[in-house]
Amino acid sequence: MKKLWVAVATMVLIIGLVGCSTFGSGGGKPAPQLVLVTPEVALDKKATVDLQGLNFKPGQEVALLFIDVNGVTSDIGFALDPQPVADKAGSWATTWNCGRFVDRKLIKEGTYTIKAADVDYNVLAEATVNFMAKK
Amino acid sequence: MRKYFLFLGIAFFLVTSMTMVPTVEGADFSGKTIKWIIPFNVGGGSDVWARLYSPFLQKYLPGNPIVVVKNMPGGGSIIGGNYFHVRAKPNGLTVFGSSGSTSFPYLLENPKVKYDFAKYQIVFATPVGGVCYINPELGVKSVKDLKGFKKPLQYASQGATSLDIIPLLAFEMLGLDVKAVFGYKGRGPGRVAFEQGEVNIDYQTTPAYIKNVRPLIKQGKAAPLMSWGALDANGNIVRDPVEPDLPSMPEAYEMLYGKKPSGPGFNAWKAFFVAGFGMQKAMWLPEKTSKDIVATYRDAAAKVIADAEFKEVVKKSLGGYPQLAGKDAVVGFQQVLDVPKKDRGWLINWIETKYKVKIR
Repeated sequence: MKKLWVAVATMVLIIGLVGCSTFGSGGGKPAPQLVLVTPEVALDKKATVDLQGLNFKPGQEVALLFIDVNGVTSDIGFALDPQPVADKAGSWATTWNCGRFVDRKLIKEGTYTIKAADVDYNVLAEATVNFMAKK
Repeated sequence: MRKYFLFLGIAFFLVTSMTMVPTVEGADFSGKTIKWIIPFNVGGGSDVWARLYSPFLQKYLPGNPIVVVKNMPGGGSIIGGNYFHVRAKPNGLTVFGSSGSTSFPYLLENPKVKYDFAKYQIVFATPVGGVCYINPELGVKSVKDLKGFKKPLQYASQGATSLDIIPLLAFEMLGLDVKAVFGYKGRGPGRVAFEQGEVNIDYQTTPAYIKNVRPLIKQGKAAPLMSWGALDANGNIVRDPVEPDLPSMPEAYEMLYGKKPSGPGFNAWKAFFVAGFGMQKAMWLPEKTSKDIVATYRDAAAKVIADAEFKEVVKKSLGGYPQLAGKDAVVGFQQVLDVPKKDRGWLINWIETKYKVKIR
């Protein structure tokens, strides 16, 4: 019986340790954040969206995913300047030239989701941007 | 003691389950995200094509993965093609969307091209047609009137190594004296040039032909000559179903010369026709992709093509041509891959000599 309790205790200890390493990532570290510097954008063929990232892994390459008006997800990396890579502090900033999406009617008036992900498209953070009719 | 090892075994199983990196097994894409590389800008023909297919592939691929369209414009689609060749892993999570503009530099042995369709697995392909027309003021009402026709013609071209290889080589084979006027940015400007009288012979892809040229024909401002044709299930060039009354290019040749076209020029024309029109756009899986994954993709593509809602999409936005999945696509594209090296060489030499363009 004693051996059984030792076995149970060993199992709990192993799971506990792995659980900490797997799920306790950060140990108080803040989660990555996607910040829309321009959360409201006028629908225009020259429209741009400014984005920032916080608390990413230093040196991490970030993919930005946009879900268009038809629900299709796009990797908008080709339209970003500069390419988002987290600095030593885990921050990055970029501008999305989204005019072509507006021109091709992939963006119409409304609220859209942008996701920040790693290069394998594991989503790390997300935010919404509101496109408004041009005044 | 046995219980002790049993518990340790359970603990090990739980631990490995929790820490294991998820992989695609049995071609189930649950919880996965698929990267679909489109080597052109957003809003172009290939991008529109991918965005039409994307939601349906999500629906029919097992596990309903998210399909992300990744545009990689530049280098006439060579940049995106090379990226796929170098970076795509054979795990079913990265696919490539090619177009005729991607296939042509490959066929022309452009030294910048690293991608190799002979090594990849085709999933499905989408055809498009092209219809050639002429200014009726030249006294030509149909292709029969081209017999012995010697008047000089002008054609608005995007370049001698672009999709314009198809019309330019067709004109040559039909014995027409056509001067290519280069510098036009697309077939739209080419049609405008025709309407403005800058050129007197032109072609449009079938969707643009239906929309913009049929009205000109009704007004007596254009006379349709021939279509480039369409591929049947056996890989033969037949009449384009969009304009079934018009002869295909090989038929037009036969009408003028009394024999079927043959030889290296026609072999090259046919290979480029298949790559540029008969199977203009195609989805590819990378080299060394497992049979399971390839079969899963092809099965999903077949289901997409059979979907009633998607059939409406094809009718409305893809010219109504039958989409080719799996074996049909393999058979079709094999004609591109099988073109003998000497016939490719003939074409490259013809372009370099006639248009003073250095290809290799």
